Amino acid sequence: MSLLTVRDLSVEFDTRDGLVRAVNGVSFDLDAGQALALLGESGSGKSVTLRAILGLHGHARTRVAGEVVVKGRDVNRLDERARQGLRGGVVSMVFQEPMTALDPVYTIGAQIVETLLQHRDLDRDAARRRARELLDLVQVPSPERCLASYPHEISGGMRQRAMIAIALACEPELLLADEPTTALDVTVQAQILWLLRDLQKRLGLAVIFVTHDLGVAAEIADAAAVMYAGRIVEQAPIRELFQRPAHPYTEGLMQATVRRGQKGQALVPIPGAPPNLAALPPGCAFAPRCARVRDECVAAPPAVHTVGPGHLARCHLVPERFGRPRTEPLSIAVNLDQGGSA
Amino acid sequence: MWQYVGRRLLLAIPTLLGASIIVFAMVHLAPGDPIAAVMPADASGADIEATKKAYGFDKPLPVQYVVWLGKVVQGDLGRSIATRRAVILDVRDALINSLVLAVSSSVLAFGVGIALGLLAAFRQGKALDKLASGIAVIGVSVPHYWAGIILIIVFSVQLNWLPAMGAASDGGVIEYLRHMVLPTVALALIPLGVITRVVRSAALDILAQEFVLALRAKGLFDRRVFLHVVKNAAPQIFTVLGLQFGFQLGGSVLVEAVFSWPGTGYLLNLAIFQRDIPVLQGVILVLAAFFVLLNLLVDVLQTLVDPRIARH
Repeated sequence: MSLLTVRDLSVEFDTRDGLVRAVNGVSFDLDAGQALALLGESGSGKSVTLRAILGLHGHARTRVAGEVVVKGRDVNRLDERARQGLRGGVVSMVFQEPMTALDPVYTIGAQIVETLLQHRDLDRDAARRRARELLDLVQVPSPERCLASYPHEISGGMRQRAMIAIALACEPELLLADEPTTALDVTVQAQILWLLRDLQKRLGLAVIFVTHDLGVAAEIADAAAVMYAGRIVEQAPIRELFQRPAHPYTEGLMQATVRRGQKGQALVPIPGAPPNLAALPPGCAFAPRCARVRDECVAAPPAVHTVGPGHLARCHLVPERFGRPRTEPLSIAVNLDQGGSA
Repeated sequence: MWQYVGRRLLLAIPTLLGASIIVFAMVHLAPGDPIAAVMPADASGADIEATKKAYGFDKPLPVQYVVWLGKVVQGDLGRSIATRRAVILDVRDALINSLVLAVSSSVLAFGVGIALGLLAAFRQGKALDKLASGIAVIGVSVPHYWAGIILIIVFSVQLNWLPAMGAASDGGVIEYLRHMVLPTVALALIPLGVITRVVRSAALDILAQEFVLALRAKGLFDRRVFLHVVKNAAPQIFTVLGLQFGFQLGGSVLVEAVFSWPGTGYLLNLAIFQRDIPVLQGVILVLAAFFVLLNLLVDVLQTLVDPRIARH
């Protein structure tokens, strides 16, 4: 049984501009200890997907459909108490901007301790000792001082380490990292990235790593899922994705990214802008920006096609460009829903 | 911490000096002759001159100010032109009565306002929110002197439950409390509305911040998240509470007049109609000093709650 199973997850926001379909029929699985990168540009539904995994979307003006099964329990069917036990206890989250994600009027120590007291049967002293250990674990140089500091008193890198310490406080099995390095300096980014990878390996954590940075995904992930306009458009083991991108959007992302051997070659931006999620086109959402667009792309949404073992893409052109798959898709950890939406 | 308080106290001195100049100038710039109000209409020119001399009104204004300030610092606010009593005594009695009313109406307004504001924020868009917001709008919209008159008509005239006038200073504690009820309610209306709205919007601002989502993502219980929100909204709420308490003390002229409550507002009202300049100056100055002290207290409280506000 996989640690996390997401089936046909949809999240819709009822806004003044109409119904915004932020996440639209997303399905994937994740095994214990696996690292999945969720790639895509801003507004593609990555963060909304993460929040849905924790059941954090309120009921007002938000509709969540589909299944999010964590260790056999559907998050959307649990009562609030059981969900609170899950959050922080089994699944925890690291946010993009630690300055805004930490409470400014509580010390780092207080914020770690309260998390421990929520989920563990500890007294205050034991919780404080454990908080110190956690800061050691995330390699904070002077843990005692950090415990007594308020978020504005420490550097961005230290703040993100503290955030990770809070997330790891109750030994979760799944860590959701929402662009945890985006708000940091490049040098600090690398440190946090190495720390997360090291912790993932050492603690056997499963990680979903949301990022728009392909380099980051290549560093940390076993597999990647590319999101566009609320859908997963391509999914593959990480090396396979880089060697043989099958969806034109993934190709576009790679050509728009600085990489080794890039010198002398121009970066190719993807023309146009992401679609309005309140008024999605009837066909493929990427069609208006796609260099390979055809009539059928505009007319009907593409089904999910198999490119190779564990490699799936939601594009009309896959059978023609990559032929029939040589083998049936193996049952691997990361797997797109075969049903598609056609 | 104590250094910060000391520095703020020193900074309060120029503020108070400025207030004293304005108070002094304002009263002297206003039209009307205070002497004419106390002297009989047929008084001789020599009598009027003598009275002016006795009060120091014949000297140039800057000299009058320095002399006045010198006495004020020693606690001598002069004598009332109308009653000849020492102003400091009148102001003291009135201040005590006003303070009692300010405290009781503030306790009522703060308690109900904070509770309503928080409830409204945590139930945003629900019926409870609309009810609380409706009460807030009524609170800030209804003129409190009108509300006072309605309260008198209903509870004193029609139902005959509570007294309408005065403070009954010599009737014992129970009688004094009974006299307090109606003015307290009338005076609490406006701050109740203001506080409900400020608390609601402050709490909503905090609720919209990412760390609230992060707190919920840690699996904290709602009441624990509530505590975080209240602590974050507290500095903003304190500021408004301090200001409102000051207004309660100074802004009760009309309500005190309606209920004939012998407080500073009532005294101020009396002094204005009698052109009793020493009393007018004394009351305004004492109220200004109170405002400055209150703001200082609020600032100190804020630094205690929110570590981001510097305490060098």
